[in-house]
Amino acid sequence: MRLGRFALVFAAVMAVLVAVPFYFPQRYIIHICVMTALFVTLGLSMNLMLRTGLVSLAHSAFMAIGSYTSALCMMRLGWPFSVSFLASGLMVALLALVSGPIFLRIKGVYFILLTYALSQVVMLNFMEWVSLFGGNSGLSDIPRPVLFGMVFNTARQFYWMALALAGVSFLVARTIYRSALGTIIDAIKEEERLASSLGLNAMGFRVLIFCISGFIAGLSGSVYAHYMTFLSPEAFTGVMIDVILINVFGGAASPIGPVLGAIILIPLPELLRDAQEYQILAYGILLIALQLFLPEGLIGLCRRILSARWRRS
Amino acid sequence: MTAVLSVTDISRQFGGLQALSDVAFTTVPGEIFGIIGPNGAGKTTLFNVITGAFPPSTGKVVFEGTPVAGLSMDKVARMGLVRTFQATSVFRSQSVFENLRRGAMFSLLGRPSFLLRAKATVTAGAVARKRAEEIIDFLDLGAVTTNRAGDLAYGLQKILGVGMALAAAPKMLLMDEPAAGLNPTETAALGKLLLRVRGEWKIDIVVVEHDMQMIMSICDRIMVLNYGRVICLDTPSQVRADPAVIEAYLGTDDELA
Repeated sequence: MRLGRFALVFAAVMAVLVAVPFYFPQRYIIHICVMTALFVTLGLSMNLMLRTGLVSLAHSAFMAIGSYTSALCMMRLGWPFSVSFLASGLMVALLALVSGPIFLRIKGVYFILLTYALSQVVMLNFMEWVSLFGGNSGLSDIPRPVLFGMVFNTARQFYWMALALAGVSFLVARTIYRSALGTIIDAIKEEERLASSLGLNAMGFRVLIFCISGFIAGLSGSVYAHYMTFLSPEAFTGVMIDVILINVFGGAASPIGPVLGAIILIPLPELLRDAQEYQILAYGILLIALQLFLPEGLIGLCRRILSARWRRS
Repeated sequence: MTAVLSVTDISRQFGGLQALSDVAFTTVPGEIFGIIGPNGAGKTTLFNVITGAFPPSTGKVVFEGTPVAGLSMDKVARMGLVRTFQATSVFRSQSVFENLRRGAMFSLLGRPSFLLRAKATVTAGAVARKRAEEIIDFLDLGAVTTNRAGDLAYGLQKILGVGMALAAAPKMLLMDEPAAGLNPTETAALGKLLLRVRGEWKIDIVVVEHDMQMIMSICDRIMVLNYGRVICLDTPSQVRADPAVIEAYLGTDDELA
């Protein structure tokens, strides 16, 4: 019954979102929609980390690696898009699997710093290894994907692809949170020592979440690469902050939080083009204000309003 | 019951400090084994070495024939040696029932590999609920099942902590000062509870404790530590009469003079 209602709402929302390009055919609006859908995916990937009690700045590296992997698999190895797409996710998951057991040993702010360092090292590689990654000028002429004999060469096709990825990511996150795995990561976040004393291998589950999060971020990087058709390292530097901001703004306690966060925050700089030089400043002030007045984000605000109304009636 | 914890010649240094020297004991199946000692005697260090928080400098810890020193806490717990904490330790935001359910669930689904076993979650879910209900009956927590664990009185939180450890289906409980912070009535009740755990659940207990009265009344044997050495290992009545123990706790006449 509950599942039925969720399925209905989810299908209805997706149907509305699928129809967006028909009502707003302008290319730049569709571009914003593609980026928003990609950041919904990235935000959900980050949400998995936050729900496990981990703040990571590795997402710049994760998305970048996904992008470069997918692009190079098609360009250098001649792999079809479907395989390159999966390879981009697997590549990042593999990096998380190898680095996770070392990184995740370190707690709190030191883990954040380590993941920041990881992002920097990865970026430096993309900048300095010119023969493979094209250095600062990046990669260009990345081929368009072909899926089921259909060439993806319009913005709206990429919007649908990114939307599908965001939808699947949302369902994956929601399924995880409602399963035994969700209970486990909640417990690791709340009282890790207690959970371990009862027989839970907290490290194993943290590495698992790091891998799933990386896999999803890698896939979004792949779609980004083939949509833009050119890549340069600096395009990814802001991603690590954006994905956290999306979660803080929307509210990290629910998978709907990062979805709302991305839908509101990603189009904002485009609409306020003239003020773009103040973007970082605005983000900083927004973060401080949110911490002060809305520590649980938009989702927390909605819950407060709903419970207040419920109490009054 | 065959659960046996055997500690052989454990020593542990921290820099120049000898925290433990040649500590050795072996539990007898079915017993409650107490470890006491004045402050700084090395009780907590011994406890941490046994539970794998850090390895001993020398010596061995063997549980049920398997060396456990240096293994991770969760792995030791899945082998059946479950520890409880000195401070209350519950999932404060969750209900009493959910806390107990988690205790059982984490011991059943402790490793990520459970995701590869199709029916693991379903089976574990049913087992965990059943165990939680059993423990609610055993601990008489029926009136507070849906209460938030963080809202319970301190004494009740400690009882819940014991319940969660039970839910993890241990062969032996390793308890770090379970009576710390409890009033005399609560301490006495806890002592009775531990006797029932041993009697009705057939779980052996090793308990490190400060409260003399409780430990004397429930333990079959007691080991007394002082300055990291075993100064006495005997039945409670023998321990009470031992001159070395009296000296360690009260000092000698010379010191008083």
